[in-house]
Amino acid sequence: MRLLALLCLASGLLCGQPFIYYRGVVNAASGLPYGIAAGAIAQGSLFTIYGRNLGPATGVSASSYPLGTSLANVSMTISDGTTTVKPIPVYVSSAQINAILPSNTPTGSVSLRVFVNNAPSNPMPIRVSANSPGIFTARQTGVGPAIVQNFVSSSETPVNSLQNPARPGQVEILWATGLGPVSSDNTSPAGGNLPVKVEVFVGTESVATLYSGRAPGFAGTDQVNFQIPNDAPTGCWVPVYLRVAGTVVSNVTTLAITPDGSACAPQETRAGSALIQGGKFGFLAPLRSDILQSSPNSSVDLRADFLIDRMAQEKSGAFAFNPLFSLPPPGTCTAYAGAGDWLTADPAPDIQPGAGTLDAGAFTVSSTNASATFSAPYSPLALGYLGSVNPAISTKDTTLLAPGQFSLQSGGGADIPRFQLAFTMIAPVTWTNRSQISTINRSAGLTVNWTGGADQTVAVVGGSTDLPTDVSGVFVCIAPRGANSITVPPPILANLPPGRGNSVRSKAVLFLVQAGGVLPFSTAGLDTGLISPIYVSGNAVTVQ
Amino acid sequence: MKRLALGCWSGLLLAAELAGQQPPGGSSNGSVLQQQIEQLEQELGDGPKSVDVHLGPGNNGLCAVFVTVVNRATGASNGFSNGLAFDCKDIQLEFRNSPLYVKITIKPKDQDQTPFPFSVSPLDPILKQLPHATPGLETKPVVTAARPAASSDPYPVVLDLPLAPPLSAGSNTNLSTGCDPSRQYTIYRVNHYADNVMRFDGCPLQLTATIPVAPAPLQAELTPDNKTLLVTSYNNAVTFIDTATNQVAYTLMTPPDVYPAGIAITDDGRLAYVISFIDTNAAVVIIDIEKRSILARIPIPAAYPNSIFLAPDGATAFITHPLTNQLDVFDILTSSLVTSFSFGTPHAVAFDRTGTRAFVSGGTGITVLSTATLQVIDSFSLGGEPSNMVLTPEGRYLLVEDYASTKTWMIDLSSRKVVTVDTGLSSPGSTVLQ
Repeated sequence: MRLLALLCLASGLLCGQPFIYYRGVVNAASGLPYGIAAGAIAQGSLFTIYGRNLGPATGVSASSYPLGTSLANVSMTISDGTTTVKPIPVYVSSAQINAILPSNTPTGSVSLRVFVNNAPSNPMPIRVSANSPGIFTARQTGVGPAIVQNFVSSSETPVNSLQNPARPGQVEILWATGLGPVSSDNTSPAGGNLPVKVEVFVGTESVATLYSGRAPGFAGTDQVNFQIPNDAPTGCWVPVYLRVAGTVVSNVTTLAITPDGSACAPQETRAGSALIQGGKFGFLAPLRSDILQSSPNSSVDLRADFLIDRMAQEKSGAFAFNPLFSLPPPGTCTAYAGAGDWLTADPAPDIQPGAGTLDAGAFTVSSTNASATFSAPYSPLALGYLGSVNPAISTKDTTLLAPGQFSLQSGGGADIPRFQLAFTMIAPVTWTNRSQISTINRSAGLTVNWTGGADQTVAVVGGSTDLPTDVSGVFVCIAPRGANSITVPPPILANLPPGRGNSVRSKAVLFLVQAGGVLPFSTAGLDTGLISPIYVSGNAVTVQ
Repeated sequence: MKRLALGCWSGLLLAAELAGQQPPGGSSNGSVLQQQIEQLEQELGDGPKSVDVHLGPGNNGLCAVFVTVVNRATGASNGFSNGLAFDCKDIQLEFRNSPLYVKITIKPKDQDQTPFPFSVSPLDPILKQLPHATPGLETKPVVTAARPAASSDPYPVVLDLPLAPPLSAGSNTNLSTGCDPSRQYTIYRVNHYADNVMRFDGCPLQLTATIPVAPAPLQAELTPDNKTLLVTSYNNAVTFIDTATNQVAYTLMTPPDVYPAGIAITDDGRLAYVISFIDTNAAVVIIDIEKRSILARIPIPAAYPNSIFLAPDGATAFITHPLTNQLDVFDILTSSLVTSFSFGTPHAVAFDRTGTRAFVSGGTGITVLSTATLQVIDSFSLGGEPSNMVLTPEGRYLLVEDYASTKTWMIDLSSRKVVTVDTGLSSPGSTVLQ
């Protein structure tokens, strides 16, 4: 802190002048950052700048058309070295600016600068493209329930939510930004389809749009109208996303669809139901992982046993969402992308408990001849480490969770007293094309085949991280019960960061995940308790 | 500087062992050798074992540790040897069979007896070795990336993946010891007063070329394809060395008021950013590497900029001013200064893999800055004079060289534990790792 004070006193630059945070310029709807394919800022779109001293302490919004290039003494310039344009602020505050990128902004790498009372900020590089769609979300995190309205009549268009799902065949109005440039950015748009191909994906199905262009009356904001197919999957979190010009894919959001439009049934999935209901929710998952790493220099088969110990207070609500439990319907896939190294320790959006964690004390997992204890979980997945074997280091094997019977005992904590459970660890399915998958080709899609697991929930989960730009992408596909194959479509893979051919700079992994059934348990201190043994087979892969 | 490869880290682990210290990240049995022996014992199956450990001449003419394990019940045996970069007379072996105990220590040695001081570590204290003609000038050694390793590499690199054995379980460190031919390194050492660059190839470590360059060379950097080494010379030049031939391919003379010192090269290998170390008219000079010409000269307001460090994504660079206690942040895209602020004797900057944190050595410690906000988010007090740094590839350990001694600090960024490693060799610049 002393150094910080020195910095402020010595330079005066850090503490008073406007400052744009590094990588702090993002699509206003998706929040996707610089390093993701859809992290470019589209001409004519709404974008957000995060920083400090960017404007007045109390936020100011533009109130009338035509919009100006200055608001509350805040203005911006964007330059590629030869051409300079002025973005149009629609909201300014000390920590955040929302603005419209002029449609005549040169594409490619440009430099953005903010001026507050004529004092310039640091320049910040951004990437500009003609199209880069982002869907607005109810939680404002770029993931989860989209801002989408169910069209009932011209006077009745409720926002889609867990309590107001759509039904198959219904027309929907989806709110987004980044479909493309228009002739005027600072006037109230009259509407009209933009001259670019826009597709809506519901589940895995591409749906033609009924309208795709500026939302009449809302500069920088797009509206996409479409009809949900009659055979669309139903569920509380059906994936919905956009693809523009056949190439650029938006953030993947969700839409609640039920057969008759009634509220999402809490019995849909046990974990999802617990999330929707809120309250004190305990989720335990004994987990074995077998990861085959055939790069960078030699093959090594890593095995580790964990217990996911997630004791949390969750908020209920019409837009409840958590990537761990808000799974897409069987037969569909979802995807996430954003800032951070999600393959190591950084949390993905909305993955943390909604209202804090609960203390259940240490956990001990025991078989008839061995046991392991951990005192506290780590990582955003709430992993408690039980044992491992890592041939790169030693042949010593401390694993525990071979298929069979186990007991699990909590030592008791401040929130949840001691309790004991029994569970059966499952055996792995046979991943029949595992040895053939060392690369994920994003434009070709990916098919994973296996045998076994007919009575289990099987999923394919993959992800990649690009370290220099500090971004990650993850996809999740749920197999229909009894299936032996999943194909991940190219749009779901579109925003995975590609590899750099260097494991120190990028990494990727593909998992075949099987869950052996989610069973409830009751104990004091929890409203809902669930336990599910999980077996994960993984390949370290590269993404192209 | 930024290309520490796993082999170097492994060497450092060995160095820690040689110094009789517990290598960080190692398993609780404390010794790489012990771990390897225990692995052999397991591979030989059940039954009583006997172990023999002795020193002898290795393939490289230096000393090696020879280990043999025999299963006395079955008669089966197996063994291995680890080459050491020392003469056997300089090494002391302590060994007990039961309970198993192996310790190797380097005997104290007169610094003048060191045949030649070189290092495969980016932490090479070359700074100390060179008498400073111009006060405060610092050099940066260059280490090439490892060659592609053979598929049968016995020391697999374990990636930092989700659901893999966690670091705390002892994984994610490559415990290769000795001279491993599959991890070949090339080391370039800038000799300021001799006006040359020495090239060493590892395994066995040997001097392979001495390349004359423009007078008063200071720092060097390799292009990403390892084909060209650019060497800055304070006497108004940048020398281009063809690493395939070890010959000077071109000498770019800079304007007479440009004094090349620090250098950084972009990931695409197109541009070199060279610092002009001077009190007035200091600058960043941008060089088109392919055309071997100066593209631009960007003034730096503060005096004596010394070194430049590119962030991993190449969007920004940090410039140190150790003589005038200032740190600059430079925007690569717009070729303009983002901001400058006071910072006590900044020597070097290392970025984490995601570029979200910058570790700045200066004063008697390390300051951790958020690259997003440029605010201080952490610090480590070390003492001495922390200077050159490198972050290990998996991002867990920050290795910091002490400008004032032969010590190297290893900071475990997970536990915040600081381990001080002294190789036991007191001659300047004689840290021999691998």
